[in-house]
Amino acid sequence: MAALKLTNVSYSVDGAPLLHDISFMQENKGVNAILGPNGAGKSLLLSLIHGVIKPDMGLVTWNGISAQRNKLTRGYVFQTPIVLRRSVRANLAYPLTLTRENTQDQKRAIDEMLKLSHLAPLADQPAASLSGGEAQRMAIARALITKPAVLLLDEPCSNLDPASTKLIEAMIRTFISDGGSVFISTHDLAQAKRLADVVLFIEAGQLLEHGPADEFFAKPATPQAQAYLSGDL
Amino acid sequence: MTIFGQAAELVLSADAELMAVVGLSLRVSLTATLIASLFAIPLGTALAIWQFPLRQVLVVISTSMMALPPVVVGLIIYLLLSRAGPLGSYGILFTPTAMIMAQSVLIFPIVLALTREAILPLDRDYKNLLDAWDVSPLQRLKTLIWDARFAVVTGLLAGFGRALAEVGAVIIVGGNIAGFTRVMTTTIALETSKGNLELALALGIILLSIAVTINTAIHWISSFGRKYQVKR
Repeated sequence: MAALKLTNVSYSVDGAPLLHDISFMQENKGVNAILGPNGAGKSLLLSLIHGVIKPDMGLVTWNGISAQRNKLTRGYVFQTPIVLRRSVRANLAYPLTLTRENTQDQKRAIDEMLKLSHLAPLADQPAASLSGGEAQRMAIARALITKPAVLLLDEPCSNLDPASTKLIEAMIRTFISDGGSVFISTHDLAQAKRLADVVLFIEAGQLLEHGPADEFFAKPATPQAQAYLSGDL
Repeated sequence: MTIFGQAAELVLSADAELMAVVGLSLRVSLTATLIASLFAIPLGTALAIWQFPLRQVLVVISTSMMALPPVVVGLIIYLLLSRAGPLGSYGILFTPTAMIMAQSVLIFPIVLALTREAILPLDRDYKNLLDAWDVSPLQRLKTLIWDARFAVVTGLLAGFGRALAEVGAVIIVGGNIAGFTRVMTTTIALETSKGNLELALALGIILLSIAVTINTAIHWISSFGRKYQVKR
């Protein structure tokens, strides 16, 4: 089971603190939703959790190992899907070349992900020709193909229609039912209610709440969270 | 029969002298393109994606090299390869090898600049994704070159076209020796001065045909490559 631990993590740009003294530990599986208003630092926190950027102060570890290492054990999906200039199939194959899977295993994994993402009919099309929803499904499938323990999703459904959102949530649920763990930043409260087991609420770069999603939505502890849920923040 | 008719007959009959000149031209220019690309593609990619000391200086130098006058390149290679020069002992002046060297130098900055231009936007697009996977520097280089392959091949064809049409450098280092270092452009120059216009024109037709073929290929490859680019 993946255990994430942040210890006194701070991050600033040009002297302006964007995240301040964040500490928490997250051991349980399931979906962990990072909530907060625009500019609160949700995407930044996700980048720090994955180790793409290094905190100015503090430590981010997965099972005691620095987040800067073993990034391929986690899948990361961006808000706007980044598409390699290749076919859908070749996009899915790319991470497997990094993990040096053999050809037979690659083919099996690609077929499995094409099925999961409902992209099999488009497998040999240039990925650039996909719609926004299709491209995001491909990006998630590409993140999942190396069988990571954790999936990090940065507002994966912003700008997507309900049908695409539904398909992506189905992919997330399948991953969870297979034993995976998800960290998702979102400003879609309805989606957070549907998916989240745990909520991390941040505002102005500070972690204000961290606990079970049911409790957060039923009885937020801080005035900021109350204001956020009532649409005043 | 008109000059045009005689030229066309030379082309259609695959005249032996004509074909020898065409063959040598293609061999020299293709080899020069291959050699230049072996260095220019990785270096152009490195200049696009890696920050290192003197990077900007190298970019300015490589861009400036695109404006190198061929006769100056020919002169420098001549001085290097002449008997008194540092490479004179190899005895390669007035050989196809010397011509390949000169053309490689001329093509190198073109392929480098076009590769860099192709890789720069791609690296911006891919950076976050490749960082998220912790892709190694070498793998990053390979990935970017592969995904910019259509633009890179277009750059290679542009370099090949430039090499094939070049006359100043190859005439200096090759010497325009019949049956040995005489290529299409130098033959056209020589035969025109001798008044042997049908052979010059026949070579001109072939040179133009190759230029049209290269440009058609560039157009087709660019169109095909655009299918893989995300529209913004």
